[in-house]
Amino acid sequence: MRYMKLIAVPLLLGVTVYGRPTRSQEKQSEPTQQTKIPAHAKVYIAPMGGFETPLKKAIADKKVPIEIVEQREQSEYEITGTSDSKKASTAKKVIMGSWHSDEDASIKVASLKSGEIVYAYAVHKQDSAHGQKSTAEACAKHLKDEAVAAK
Amino acid sequence: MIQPRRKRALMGFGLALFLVTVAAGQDGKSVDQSNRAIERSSKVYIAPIEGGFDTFLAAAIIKKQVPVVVVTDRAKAEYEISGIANTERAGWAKMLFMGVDNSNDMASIKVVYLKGDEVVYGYSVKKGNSYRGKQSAAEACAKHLKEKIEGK
Repeated sequence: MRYMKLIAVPLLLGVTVYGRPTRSQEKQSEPTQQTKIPAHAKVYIAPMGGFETPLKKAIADKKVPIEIVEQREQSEYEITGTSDSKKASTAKKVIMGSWHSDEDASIKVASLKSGEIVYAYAVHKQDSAHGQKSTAEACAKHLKDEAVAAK
Repeated sequence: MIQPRRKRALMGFGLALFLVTVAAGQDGKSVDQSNRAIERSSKVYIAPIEGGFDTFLAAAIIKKQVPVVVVTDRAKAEYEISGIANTERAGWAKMLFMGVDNSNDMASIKVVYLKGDEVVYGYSVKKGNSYRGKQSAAEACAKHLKEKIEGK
């Protein structure tokens, strides 16, 4: 019994000193540049290696209250971003039994007047059934819910 | 009564367990290059990072409510964040023996004070078996950057 204490005490010490207890409440930090995009603002979507097309469609499908313009000079905000699709490898198809791709996408919205980034969002979709459509719709949905001011 | 020799062996084992527990809790390392603090509401420019990691980092900074203002023009910024990121996809062996296809993600950033041209903060992270890929690595960088700014 005594020798069990010699093992247990250092082990418990390591866990309690370096363990990370979950916090029930996060400390509120100062607000950053989270100013809302006004409804019906003119937004330009920069080329993103093909991701801009599903993103434009998703913005329309999700009825995000912004106006997409084709000329950067006419816009008040610009959306830039990146997208990455990883098709299922043969090993994944055989071993995991899944042929769906893994999708990553990230967008940021910048005010062309102030040069500040007013919103940014990143999404990861494991085994995405609809590919870039899923990530584009996730970006559009969060853009509508979090970034754009209500009408 | 425990023999002294056995007691020493057990104490050594206990110490080893303690050290392993400490080491297992760490997946990132931060380095302070100078004593200069990053002020709240500072303007920060994120330089393009290969693989689009800069966009993930911007999203993470906003999600984690890091108290800085990200700008798109380097000339308007007080600090610049640059870095590298790498993703390793799971191979067949990992899928077969561990039953997961999550990637390993690594990222490293440094924050430079542009006026003084000094590195004020650096952070590296490795996320083994990361479910959210670059997003996880970016959020780790943002979280530790926030702690640096808040002086934790």
